[in-house]
Amino acid sequence: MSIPLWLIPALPLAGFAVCGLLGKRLGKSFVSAVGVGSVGLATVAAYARLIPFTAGNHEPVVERLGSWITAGSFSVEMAFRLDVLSALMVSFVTFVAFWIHVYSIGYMHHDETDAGYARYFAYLNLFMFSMLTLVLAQNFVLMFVGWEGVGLCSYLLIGYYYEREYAAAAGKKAFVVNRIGDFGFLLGMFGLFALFGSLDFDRVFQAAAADALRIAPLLTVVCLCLFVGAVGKSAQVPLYVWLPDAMAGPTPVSALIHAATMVTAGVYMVTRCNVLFRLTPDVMLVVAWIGGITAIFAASIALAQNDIKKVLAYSTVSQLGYMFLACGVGAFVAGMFHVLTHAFFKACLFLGSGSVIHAMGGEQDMRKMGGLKSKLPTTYWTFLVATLAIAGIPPLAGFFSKDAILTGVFEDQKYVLFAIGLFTAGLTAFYMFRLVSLTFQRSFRGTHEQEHHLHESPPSMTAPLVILAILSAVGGFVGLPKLLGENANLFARFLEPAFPQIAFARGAEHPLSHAIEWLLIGISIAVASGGVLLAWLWYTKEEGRIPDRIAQAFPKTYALVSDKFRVDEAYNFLIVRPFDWLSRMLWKVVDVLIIDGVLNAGAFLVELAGDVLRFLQTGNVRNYALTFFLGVIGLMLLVLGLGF
Amino acid sequence: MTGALIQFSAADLHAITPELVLVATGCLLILLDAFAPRARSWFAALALAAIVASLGVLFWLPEGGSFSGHLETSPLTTVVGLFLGATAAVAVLVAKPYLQRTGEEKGEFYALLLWGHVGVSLMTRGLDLLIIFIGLETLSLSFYVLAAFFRTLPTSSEAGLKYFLVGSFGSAFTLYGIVLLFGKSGSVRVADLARPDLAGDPVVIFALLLLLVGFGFKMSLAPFHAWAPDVYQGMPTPAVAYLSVAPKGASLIVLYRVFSSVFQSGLPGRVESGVAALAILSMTLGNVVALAQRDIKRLLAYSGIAHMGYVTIALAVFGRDALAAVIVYFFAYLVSNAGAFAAVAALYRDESKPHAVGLLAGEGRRTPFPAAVLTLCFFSLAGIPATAGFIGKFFLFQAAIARGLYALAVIGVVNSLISIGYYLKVVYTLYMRDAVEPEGPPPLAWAHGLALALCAAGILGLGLFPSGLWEAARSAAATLPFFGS
Amino acid sequence: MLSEHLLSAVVFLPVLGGLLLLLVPKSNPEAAKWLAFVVSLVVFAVSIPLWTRFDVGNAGFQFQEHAEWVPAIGISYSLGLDGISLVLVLLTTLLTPVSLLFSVSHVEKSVRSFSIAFLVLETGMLGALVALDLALFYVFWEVMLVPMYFIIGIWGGGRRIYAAMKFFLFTMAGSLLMFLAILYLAWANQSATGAWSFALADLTRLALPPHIQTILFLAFALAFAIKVPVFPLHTWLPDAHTEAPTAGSIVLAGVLLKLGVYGYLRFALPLFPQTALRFAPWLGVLGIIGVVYGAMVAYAQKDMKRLVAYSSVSHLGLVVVGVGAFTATALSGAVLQMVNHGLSTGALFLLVGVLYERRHTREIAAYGGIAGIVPVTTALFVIATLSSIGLPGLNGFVGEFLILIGTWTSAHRWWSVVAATGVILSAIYMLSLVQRVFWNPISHEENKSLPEIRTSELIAAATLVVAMFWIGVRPNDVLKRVAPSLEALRAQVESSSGNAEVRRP
Repeated sequence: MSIPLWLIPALPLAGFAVCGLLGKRLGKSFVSAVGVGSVGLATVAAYARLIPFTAGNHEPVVERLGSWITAGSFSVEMAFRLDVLSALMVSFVTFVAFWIHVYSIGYMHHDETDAGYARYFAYLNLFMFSMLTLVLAQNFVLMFVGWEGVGLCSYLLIGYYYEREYAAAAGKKAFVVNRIGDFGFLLGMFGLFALFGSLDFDRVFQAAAADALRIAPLLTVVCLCLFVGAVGKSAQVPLYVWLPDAMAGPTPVSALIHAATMVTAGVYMVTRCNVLFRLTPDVMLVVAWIGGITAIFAASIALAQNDIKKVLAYSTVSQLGYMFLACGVGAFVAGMFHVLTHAFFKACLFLGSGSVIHAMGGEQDMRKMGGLKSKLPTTYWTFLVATLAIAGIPPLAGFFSKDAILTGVFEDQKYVLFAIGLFTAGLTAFYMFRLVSLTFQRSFRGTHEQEHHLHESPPSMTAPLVILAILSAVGGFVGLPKLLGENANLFARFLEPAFPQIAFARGAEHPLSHAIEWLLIGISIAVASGGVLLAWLWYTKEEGRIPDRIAQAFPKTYALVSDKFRVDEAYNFLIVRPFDWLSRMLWKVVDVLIIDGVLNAGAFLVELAGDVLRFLQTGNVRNYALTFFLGVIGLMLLVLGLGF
Repeated sequence: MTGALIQFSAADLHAITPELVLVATGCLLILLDAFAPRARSWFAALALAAIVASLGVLFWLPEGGSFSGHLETSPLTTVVGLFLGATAAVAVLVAKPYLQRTGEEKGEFYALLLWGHVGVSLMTRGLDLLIIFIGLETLSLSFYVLAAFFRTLPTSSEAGLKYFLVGSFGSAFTLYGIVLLFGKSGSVRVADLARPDLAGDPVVIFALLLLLVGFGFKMSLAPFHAWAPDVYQGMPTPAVAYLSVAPKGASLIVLYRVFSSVFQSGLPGRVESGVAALAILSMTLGNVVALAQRDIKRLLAYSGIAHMGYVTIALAVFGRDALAAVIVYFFAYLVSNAGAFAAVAALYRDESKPHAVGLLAGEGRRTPFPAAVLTLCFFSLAGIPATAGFIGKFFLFQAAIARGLYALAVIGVVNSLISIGYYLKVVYTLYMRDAVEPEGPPPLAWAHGLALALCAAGILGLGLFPSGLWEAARSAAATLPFFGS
Repeated sequence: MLSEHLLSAVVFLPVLGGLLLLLVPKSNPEAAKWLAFVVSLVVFAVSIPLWTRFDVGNAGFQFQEHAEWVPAIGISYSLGLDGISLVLVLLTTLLTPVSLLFSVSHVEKSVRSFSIAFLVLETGMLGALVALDLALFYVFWEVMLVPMYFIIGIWGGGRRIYAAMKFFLFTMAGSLLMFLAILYLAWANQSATGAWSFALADLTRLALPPHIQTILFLAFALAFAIKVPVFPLHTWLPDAHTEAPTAGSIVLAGVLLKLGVYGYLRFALPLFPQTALRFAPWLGVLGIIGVVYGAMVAYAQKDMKRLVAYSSVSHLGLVVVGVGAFTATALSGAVLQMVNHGLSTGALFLLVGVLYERRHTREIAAYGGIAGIVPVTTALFVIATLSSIGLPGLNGFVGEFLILIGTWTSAHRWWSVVAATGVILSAIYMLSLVQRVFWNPISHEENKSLPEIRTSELIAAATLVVAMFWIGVRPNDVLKRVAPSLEALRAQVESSSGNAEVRRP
């Protein structure tokens, strides 16, 4: 019997326990060993399962550990699933995560206390446990365990520098916004349970495929709910606002959680449920449009950011938009392909930016950088490769995945969305090269001590950069377009079992002619290189005079864009403040004033009556005799008065 | 008819041995006080011995009528006698140290107490309205004097005077009622009232209402309650412990005796509503005004008024179980209320000053035992389960509900909610406020401690194991003829 | 001997221990503290066989005991334990030693009395949980109030007297009408069968006319609703919880509130099935109001304990929703959630107590940034918070999830939609609390020297945390014991009311 699946998430969990309980006492080197080691072992364990699986016939493997929750008609198991989808996710999650753990050793080593260091790796390991549970789960509930688990770790790691108020606030914001999504996820699960009487993936999907027509209308609502969950986790409009703030966390965290792995969980979930979504075209349309809008919206914000991590953050949001766009048009394969390549180049970019910030002594404002190419060569070159990849320059990874998406959109005849996607590609190329030029090219604009403190990062940090850069370069070849032969796209063929044929569900009805496909490729290359060139012209050659002039020409627009369209402010004004006000009102008015007021008034009246009646007790015997006598008369009247 | 009264046999004398013992001891005490003042420290013991003796005799008495059917010896009189004797015993136990402290340890006190006690027991045993009235007056006369026992204290003499004035007013009603009944039935024997034609007669009902007023006065039932607070405040606390319990029980028993004999076929609706009205008025007024009291003896006076309201519900219910409930209720009331007064006597130093509740602050920690007993008594009076008070209310409301008097029951529980307000006020003053008095009350005398312990034991004992008492009360209640049950 | 009187032993050992404490001289508070703690531990130990020997799958009452008490009117001393009471009994016997262990280092004022009051309280709670005779139940139900009244009033905070009075009067106000209702039932039984009886089993057989049922049900429901507490009868709770000493708050939130729901399940439902089902919608609506209202008001609080107190209103609102929905799943969730709330809120009060005992303020604003100074306390508090906001893997999630999904499958789907917003709201108020107390920059100098949690406190808190993880990972250990009794309850209620309202999912 090979390694059980549960062991893969269990290893990092053990690492978490050890680092969390003992890390502080046993010191940094121990923590590094355990923290990185546990993930390393998990990676090994994972690949020990993946390689035979890939070699084999790709039949899904389900390993059940028995019932977890059983109450009334509801029952859910502890069960893990290895199929092409989870295999894909596990493969890059473990791999990328391992290298980011390695990178973290160098990044976190000096500026942290033993306690902080241990805490960092404990959280990171806990994240790995949650993420692997998420992707390996065999039912929605267990998936939700990982789903909320990664949210928790994201919260803890964003707020890692808890003594900084904005970091703590950002963490809370991330958790709360994610909870809004999870609210949708929960309702989605309830709906599924009501429809199919189970939350087990196989049972649900088979049942759904079986009687699609009957459940279609209800299923639409359910899928919408599930998608709300995805929107929260994967930072789509309108719930994207937490991700940019999430950059308050340490940079490796941004690379691992907020770029490579967790944020793609939404895409994974939608793809996992592709059977359901394909049965509900309306929802697919929503997914596509949300994706498209997010892509272009975030990209346009990225244009005017000066914080290097903020640019990357909005770029991430935008790229995630691409992935949903792909899912929305039914090109799930392309979506997952982009998840994969994005994991490589965006992780690389974030780690690169981390190396820069590290060298700049914590400085993140690109206006104070420049000319780092000479000082940080490794960082520069790896960063450049990743940038070309994300910009979609062939033959780097990003080109293939992005092209696959655009082709999918065009195939689905969503021409407006295609235009949006294309334009976004241009924007992406532009703002990424703006970043490169501001950071690495031109001349250094920082202070002097920053300048002579500049240095390349230790190998523990550069090694991951190199590896990820290589993958960003060649990672795309697993998914060559069909033009180069039916079997060129290994990736698509590998994933095929994840997308069973269903009656009533639409596939791609109108395959494109080769001519058109070549044309599309041509256009996207042209757009990408156009963006690159423009950025190089404006920022490297012209030293950014033109953008400044544009900014001066349209000050309002520019301010609006650089203020991220003031969405946070709007939310604050429309939701947060009214909520505060209402909660205070409920307390002060309903609780204190009305409920307690009424009760106290009652008590007061009784007391008052007592005080008043007390004065009948004058101590004067005549009055006593009088009351006595009146009492007698009253009694007589009551009993005999009438009738006799 | 009149001749019949003076000729009696040895059996008759045997029947009244308990009373004889008490009267004799009373006289002996007076004589000793005059001629052997040195023996004073033994007076309490002597009185107590007399009470215990009378109680002992009580169980040996042959059942049945005596004095040619003017005096009853029955389960009812036995059980009630037990109740009265116990009350007297508690009073004496409390009185000894109390009088020593106030330097007023005189024979009269015990003598008057015993004589009053005799009066009360005659009330409960009398099958003849005149005997009942004589008992009533014996009680009143001795307690008029006891009220004014502290000659030096103006409040005390004031109490005496007030009690006397209002008391005679009340007795007048009783007497008038008796006269009317005699006029109607041609007899003063309770048994002779059991005539179908009388039950519906408005004059008879009028007369019975006058009795209700007269005995209601003794029970300090609103609106005939006004005297109680002033008198309790001025009267020596041990005497109050007796007055606030025993005569009230006796009065209600008398009312039950007479009513049950007249209304063989149940209480007429109008009378029932009259009684109910008194009950409601008494409960509500007592509790509401008690909320406003600052002096604990007055507070207890009003709480007593309220409790008489509760127990009067049982008269409105009018049935065997109701009478049994009355008996149980009064046993509970004895241990709770007499216990409360005993504890009050132990918690205050200076008799001349009013017993402000505020002075109890912090005593819970300084003088734990009396404070704990007082707390227990108050929880019992409030009717918290596992105490005697709860058992009393339990059977009372059970009877009311069984009779379908839901309104009375609901008003009753609402009232006991109000009462918690002032009972707890005292409790938290004891335990949750810091002491205001420089030093606590004098050390507790053993007799006093014993009284407190007995009451506490009684409260918990009855609260946890009410079965025996209930059985006894049931059989006692069977003595009276109830057509209904 | 012990084996056939196990329940009596568990119920009365605490009060016997209390009597034992009277022998300890006042001058030796330490001995009193530890003796009380040991007694509660013994009680816990004795209660464990109840769990292990409990016949899983048997829906009926187990460990039954029966003795005459007041035979003349059919009051009997009869105890019994089914799944529902089992878990709550264990919760009680667990929380009591935890609270006493915490108090060991924090109660100074008249320690002996405190310990005695606490043990008496435990007897009251346990008795109410296993009594099968309504009169007996009522006795225990009321007896509980007295020690708690003193615990709040003597060892409580600034406005303790007000809080104690409010607590006592509120609960009394509810119980008194129930008292009359019980008397009526007994009498109805007497006039129907000729025999007096207060035994639940007999009284459930009564066939009462609907309007009578309605009145009696309302009397019972009021008593239990105040205890839970159901909006708008909840205002005693914030004061009581806030002013009570930490140990008091733990037990108050941990056990006393549950007795409201327990009473409803054990008595109101079987006694008045039709009416109960007719009123179930009202219950559910009040429940969801409680969920949202409690959460929002909690968010507005400036006092840590008050915040946690209002969170209880919200959580128990959810439990009430589950009871109102009345599907097997929702009911299991409700019972489990009672235990969960006991653990998580108990832990929260305990840890707030830890901070309070060091800084003598409950003001949230007085803290901030202390995570670095008291990391262990912080870690424990965060875990308790996560349990309370229902993070999967911890206990809170399972209960919440079962209630919501069970409600969704009931006739009132929209309840669970509204109630599920609690998932968001709880995160908002609890995480704001965590941020304002533990994260953020250190705003007060005196916090820099804040001492870390003591060993005794740590053990107390850790016990609860372990329980949280246990239930989170193995909820079936509890659920399988509860399920049969709940199924029996539903069957009973449905059979005696041909009501279509209850849909078997």
